[in-house]
Amino acid sequence: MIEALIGFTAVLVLAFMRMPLGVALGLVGVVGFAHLSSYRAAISSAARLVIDAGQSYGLSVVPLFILMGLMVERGGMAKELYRAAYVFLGHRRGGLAMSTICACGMFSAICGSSLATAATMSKVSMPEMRRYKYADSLATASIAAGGTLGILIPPSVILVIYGLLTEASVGKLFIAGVLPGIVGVLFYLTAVMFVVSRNPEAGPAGERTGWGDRLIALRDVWATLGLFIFVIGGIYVGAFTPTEAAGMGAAGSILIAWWRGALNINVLLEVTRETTMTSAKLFMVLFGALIFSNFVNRAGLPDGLISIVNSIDASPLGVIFIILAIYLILGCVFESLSMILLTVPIFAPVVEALGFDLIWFGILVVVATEISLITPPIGLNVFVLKGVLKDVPVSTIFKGVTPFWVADIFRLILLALVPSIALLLPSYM
Amino acid sequence: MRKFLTKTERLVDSASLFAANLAAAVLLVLVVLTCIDVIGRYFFNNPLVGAVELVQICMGLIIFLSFPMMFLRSDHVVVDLVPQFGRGRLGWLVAIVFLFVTVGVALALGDRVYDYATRAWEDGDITEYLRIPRFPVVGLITIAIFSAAAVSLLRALVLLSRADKSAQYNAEYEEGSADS
Repeated sequence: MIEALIGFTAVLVLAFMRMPLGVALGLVGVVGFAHLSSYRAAISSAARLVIDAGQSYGLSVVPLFILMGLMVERGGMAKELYRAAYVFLGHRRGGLAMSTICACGMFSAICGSSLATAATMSKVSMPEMRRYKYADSLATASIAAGGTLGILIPPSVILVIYGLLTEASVGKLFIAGVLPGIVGVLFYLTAVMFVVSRNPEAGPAGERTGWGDRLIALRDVWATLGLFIFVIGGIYVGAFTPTEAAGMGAAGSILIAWWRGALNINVLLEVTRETTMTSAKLFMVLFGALIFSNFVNRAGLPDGLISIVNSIDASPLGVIFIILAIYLILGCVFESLSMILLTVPIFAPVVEALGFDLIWFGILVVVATEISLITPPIGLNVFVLKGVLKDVPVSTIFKGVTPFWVADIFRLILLALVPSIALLLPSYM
Repeated sequence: MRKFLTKTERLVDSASLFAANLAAAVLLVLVVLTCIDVIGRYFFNNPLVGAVELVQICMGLIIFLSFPMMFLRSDHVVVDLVPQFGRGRLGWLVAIVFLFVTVGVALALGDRVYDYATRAWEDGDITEYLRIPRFPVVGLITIAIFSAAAVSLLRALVLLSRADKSAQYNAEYEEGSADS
């Protein structure tokens, strides 16, 4: 077990020195494995892992869902989603921030990435909130926090990776993310209400929209929402495997973009190339992580942890809360994908040995990871926003995000104590 | 020397762009493939035979054809917590050292993947349903990993040739330099 801890430290040091994470993980994984057995065995198993994972059927959902998200983004559908939320919520105090949260939730239903959700929504909703003189802190925080829903509400790239690492069903993981995602939206709306009740100036009300305009706004988003229901509903009723659903979803998003006149050959080439590059980048880290986790398992880290947990006779739920606390701390310095890849192979066997459901644990991990996206000092969503809105100081965004962060902590505790929120829908599959 | 490196870099850039465009085309093939499979199954009661194998081959092509471009642009997931390691003389030095490490790792891995490719060729290894030979994809993976090594070496040499500008090194800028 000591070898695994040394390896873990080595990865951290190399990563902090800016070595590409995939290379750092792969290098330490091979060297560590060679130390425990032989160089030949280490490099052979690494080569086999790269060949197999690079041609994995299950992982083909990754590029397909990335393509779907990018296509929807280019098709300009984010604006209409925001509009649809605005016509129903805009006239309330803090209504524009609430609309942002709801639009983020809907956009997440097509897009599997939190950073993309935050970046897209910041372009759509920030100008509106500026026009109504919203406080920068509330406006930016609602986008940063709303954006985190991207990795929980299916489709989610992170859940696919979790599924690969733990051999849990990706379809069930997706469906399990739906209710916690909705709970997340409700908690964020509560956070907005809390902020405007303390400081009404932060979020003035917009104009009320009549029912005629509301119906028109709904008409504009039916295609996007239809695509979500088709893709996720198809997985839920068992009509498609996640890969097939992703393929159909990607085709659907291309058709919608084309129908709306947002597609030409250049856009198609640009979007597909961005998709393949992003996927390759992700796979590179994944290869490294698989090689590293092979070493960690061989070194007996998960088994060591299980025996420690058994020997101190801790309450199982207590162990879960300790693991979640570790995620929150790691989240302060690590980016979400790296964190999942590094920790899940170590913690999942422990959680399974304690008799917990790995689908439920996956949702908890993703929610904890979401929190890390808005946790100082490196909450990535905050920096994505900072990149788009250069005139807002990072400290303002972090300050504004605090109520949302607290709402997230409450949600995490709720999901941990009431597993059925995550497990209800998958139980009917 | 610097001129030669710049010329080579440009040439490699065009070649990688070509491979990346191929990967993008394969992605569209993958989309069409999954749709044909689903539509065939539900509407014509006639699913695509061996769809799983075709998807696997497409995945291999998509990921590994993108490798040269990714390494050329150093477009990797990096933990950006200590910015000092990405700037100035220290950043320049660390970048070069890590590029050489990358070359070493890629060569070691590529060497072993090459063994698997030759074995697939010699054994006449084929897929289960469609009986497609496996060696072309494993061979492509070998080439992709070796080209990652070559491209990283090229980048290391380019950086070394800019030793006089090392104090102004900025990883963010470097990452974008191949774009222009």
